[in-house]
Amino acid sequence: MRIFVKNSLLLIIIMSFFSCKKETSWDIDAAIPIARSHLNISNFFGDTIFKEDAAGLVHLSFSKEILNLTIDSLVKLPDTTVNIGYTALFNASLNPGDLIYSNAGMPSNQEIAFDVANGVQLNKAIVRSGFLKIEYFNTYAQPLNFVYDINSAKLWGNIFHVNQTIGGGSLTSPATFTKYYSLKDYDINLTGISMNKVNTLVQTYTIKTDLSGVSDILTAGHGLSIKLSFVDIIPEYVQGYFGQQDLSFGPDSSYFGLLNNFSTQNFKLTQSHINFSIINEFGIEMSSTISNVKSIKVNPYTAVTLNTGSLLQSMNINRAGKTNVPSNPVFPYIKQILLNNTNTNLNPFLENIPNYLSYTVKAKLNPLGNISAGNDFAYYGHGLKVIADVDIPLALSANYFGLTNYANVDFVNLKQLNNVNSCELVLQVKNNYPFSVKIQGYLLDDYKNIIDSLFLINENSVKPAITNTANVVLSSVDSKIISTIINSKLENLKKCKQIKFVTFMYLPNQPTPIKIMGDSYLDLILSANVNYSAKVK
Amino acid sequence: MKSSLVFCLSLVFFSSFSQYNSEFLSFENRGRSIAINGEYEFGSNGIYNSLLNKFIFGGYIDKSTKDASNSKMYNTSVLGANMNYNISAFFGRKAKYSYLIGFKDHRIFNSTFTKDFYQLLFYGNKPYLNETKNLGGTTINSIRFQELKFGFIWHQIDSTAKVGVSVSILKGQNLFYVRTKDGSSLYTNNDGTELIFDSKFNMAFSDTSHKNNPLAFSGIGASADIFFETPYKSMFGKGSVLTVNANNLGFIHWNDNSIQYSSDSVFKFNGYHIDNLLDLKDSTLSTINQDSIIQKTSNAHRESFNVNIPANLLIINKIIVTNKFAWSTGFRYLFSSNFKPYGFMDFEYKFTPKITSALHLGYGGYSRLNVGLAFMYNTKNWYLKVGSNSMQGFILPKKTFGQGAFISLARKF
Repeated sequence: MRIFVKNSLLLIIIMSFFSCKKETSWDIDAAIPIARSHLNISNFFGDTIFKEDAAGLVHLSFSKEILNLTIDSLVKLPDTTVNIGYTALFNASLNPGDLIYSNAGMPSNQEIAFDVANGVQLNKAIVRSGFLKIEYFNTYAQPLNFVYDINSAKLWGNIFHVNQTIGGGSLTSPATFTKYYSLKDYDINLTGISMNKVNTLVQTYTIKTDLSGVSDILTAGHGLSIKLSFVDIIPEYVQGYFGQQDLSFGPDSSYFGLLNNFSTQNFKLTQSHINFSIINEFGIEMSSTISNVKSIKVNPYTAVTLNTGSLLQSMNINRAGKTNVPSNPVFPYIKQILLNNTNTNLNPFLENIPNYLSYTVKAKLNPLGNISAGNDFAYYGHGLKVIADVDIPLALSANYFGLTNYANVDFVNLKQLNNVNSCELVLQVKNNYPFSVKIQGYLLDDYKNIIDSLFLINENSVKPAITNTANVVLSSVDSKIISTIINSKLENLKKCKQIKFVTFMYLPNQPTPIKIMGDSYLDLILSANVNYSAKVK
Repeated sequence: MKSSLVFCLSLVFFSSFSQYNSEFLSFENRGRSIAINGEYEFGSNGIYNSLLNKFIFGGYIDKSTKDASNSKMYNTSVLGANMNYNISAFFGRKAKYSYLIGFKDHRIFNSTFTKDFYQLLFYGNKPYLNETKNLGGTTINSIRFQELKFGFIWHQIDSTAKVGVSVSILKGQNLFYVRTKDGSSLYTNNDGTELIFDSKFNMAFSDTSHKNNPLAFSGIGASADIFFETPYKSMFGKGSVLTVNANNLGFIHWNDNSIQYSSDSVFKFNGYHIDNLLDLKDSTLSTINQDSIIQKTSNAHRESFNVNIPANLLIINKIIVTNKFAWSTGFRYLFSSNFKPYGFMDFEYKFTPKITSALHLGYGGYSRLNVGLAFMYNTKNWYLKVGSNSMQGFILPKKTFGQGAFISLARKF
């Protein structure tokens, strides 16, 4: 046994010798492709905002919705509550099925009038959603039957109908409950019994003793109280006379963030256009004014007011028509006002590179009164929109353009980075644009502080394409930018959480405008030459 | 009388003096005993010991070390390593035969590789821009398993011959296997901005969840050893002994969690394509990882499979020249590996009744020329053998290929 123990110990020593082997390492030189990109102007800002014209000139072209009025801006249906019912004035002996009360033959008790704001006089409405809320209170000892009809509300030809039995109760402990009845899709005539009123519907109801009860005395002061509430009514369609309302929106602003990462100096446009489209889907005439239109740049703050003269003043907007197609019921009226650099100061307005567009919109409804004879209309989902279609042909001049982009990175988990002895980042660029480019990548820490940069100053330039005196590109030019990543930069790369890429494009022969053509491009190929310590254990 | 002399001398010189991973070969000297044995051998016919030593003992491989092997390497070279240690015992009461029981831990590594593979591995692809580096025909086979052995040796057949047989249960711990097919290559363009990887390869892993755990049961198998030794009368010397030994004849069945990859596609990588500078995301810059690359380049599936373990064939003819001197010639081959046929000679000299030494000369195997020395101290109660078949690796590591060592210590019953 002792021998066995001794031998086993020796075996363990031998095993330990081999298991305690130190790490083996050697250096390799690796050439690694990292990334490549074929960039045209769209890739700097986003695909959708650039369009090419027939001559190949790129246009910065986009639409911005400035205003969108919906049906509730014109017509607000208030929640309306009505109390009805019957309270006995004297004792009465009742049998099951006896009629207690009916409002038939009492016209003054059959109409409910809605108090619609702003003088709006509705004669018809179709309910998109909403409820009739009925709260029941029965103080009679026997069950009562309540039959309620809204005679002017119809769905598929059937009037709105409620038949409800309420259990027996007492003055001290009335039978009470609440029920919601959907009014969805009901077509409501709001002209009252005589068909010549507005905002008025017709109701009838009866109260009987229920057949499930027994004969009993209805004593004075007892009976059935009903509280009717029209709640959360959202109309699908309203019709009537909407009044001579004065609507005002703003001053308000619309975010214009397309060029947030863009900076420039002495930026000059040769042409620009904004087409204001006012799209009226309401069946109502109006007179509208758009004023106080400003381009606002936040940092540093500058605001340029658009001088439009009378172009956007007191614009007559005609009413929309009906198509009688349920899926697309409105034929809108569209009014367009074209602003350009000749009829306004649009160039300096846009050269401000705005972050926001501020404006004030005023509209007067039915400026000529009730000329539709109560046939103003509005559909849910259709309203009044003001859209600015911006078009800027990219024939421009500037000292430079600056672009700033951020890339989130996290190299903490990239363990292989620990084995990099040195690295050379090689950026090969084929430039087909007339401008030269300077690029820098700033390494930012958790607190957005710059801790290092990728490229050396003066070794980060991309040559411009060869151009003629009119800045027309004749041929592309190749450049190479090399960044040597030494140990300290490697350490900073590991700490880095974000890389801020700042690119400046310097335009040649200024102020001669350059034209950004659709076939212009910048080819980038990024590769790395890495001296790497391979390790095995 | 003559046959008695041959028998007596055989007692002295019987059994191989070198390291061949077989317990039966040492029975003649250690007899019934309990022994611990350890041996390793590794070598390459293309890589000098100075470089291989770094993989055994650790350390930094400098450029001159890499260059030395690069200048001497064949277009296709081999590399191999075997290491095992065990505890075993021969026991029994019968005069004619003994039983064997043992436990052994095996580590086997062998590889065939192209010179281009070596260059990419140790220099990287940067020095080889605009070149296609041939990877076809490269294999890497690494296996670790443990063995529980039961056997017996019949040591008095016709008074002098021996026959040994054993069977073993094998526990597979870890397997890694790669084989690239003809045409497999890596091209780097002239400025390092494009790689073209012709990925014709098969790869297999055992269950990777426990690969470093010696108790991991990733596979199960069986093997057998056969040993035969007989003296005979020869034209030279006082007699001869012929030994034939075949061990590790078996296989391991790797379990259902084993993974196989295969790929037969050409992959062109010229960097991540960025379409929008406004949309530089983490996914572009920081999600490059080994697993995703393997998954993209191959189709992986889990399934069980069988793998033959490298079987060892050994044939030795020993001529007993005098009472103190014997001369052996032999042949060794490892099946299911890239071991080259290995021819060798052993010259043994007995200094005293207890101390014997041997000089070993051989060529082939995983390396080229091998020169070794061994010493045996054998008493009534103890048996000790230490030596090496490839001492050149210790003496001239920068100029030679291959090295190894073995030790065996036994307490006789």
